[in-house]
Amino acid sequence: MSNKKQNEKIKDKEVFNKRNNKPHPSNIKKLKILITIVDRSKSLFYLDLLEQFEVNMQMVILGKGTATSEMLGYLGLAEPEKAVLISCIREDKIKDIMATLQEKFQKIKNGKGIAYTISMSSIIGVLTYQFLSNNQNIKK
Amino acid sequence: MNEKFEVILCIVNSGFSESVMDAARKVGAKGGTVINARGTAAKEAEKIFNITIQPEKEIVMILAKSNLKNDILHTLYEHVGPNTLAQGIAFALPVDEVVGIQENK
Repeated sequence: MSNKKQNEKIKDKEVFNKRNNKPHPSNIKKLKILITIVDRSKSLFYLDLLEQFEVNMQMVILGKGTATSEMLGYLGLAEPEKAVLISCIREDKIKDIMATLQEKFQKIKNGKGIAYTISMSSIIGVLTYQFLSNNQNIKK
Repeated sequence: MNEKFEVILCIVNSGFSESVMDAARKVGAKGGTVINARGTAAKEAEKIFNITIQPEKEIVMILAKSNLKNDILHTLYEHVGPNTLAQGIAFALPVDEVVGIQENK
């Protein structure tokens, strides 16, 4: 029963797409900003890692940690010099990305870090959206 | 991890990031990241007086649990707010997913 309903829903969307020559609103994936703070020496590694998840735009800002030296030893963080990575990611990739990051934070030597996402409330420009979401199917 | 987090951004004059962290630590923040930045507010005045000011700023980014947010923002306002030498602005953004924060024992 639920399968049938789902099929109908998908069909409805396809009809909508054809009729309006643009994707159904629910086909448009939201974007989020992912901010990752890691040791500077590991910034390239994490940039490459995130690139695997169809991330087209990333930025690196050089930052500095402020934890006390006592805290640094306790957490096992080595250097106060940090890199802040800003990546624009698609909503449906978040689960994978967060799981991968968590794993890498734990497993890699000196690879500890913090990551969080902030949702984007609006964006303008079809091309911009296509670029940021790596969506090559939307017709202009 | 069920706890809600918020990221607090505090923009202060260069050199005051220590004061920001000192104030935030008093109310339970664990650590922060400092980014160097440049302000752009004084352009008009610069033109009029024909001088250039380097408006060097520092942005302190603190990821904290939501229940600490109000305390931190209040303390920041008191210690590094617009009425102090630091001329700080602080605001908080809601954060959706967080990984990499150590749970307190």
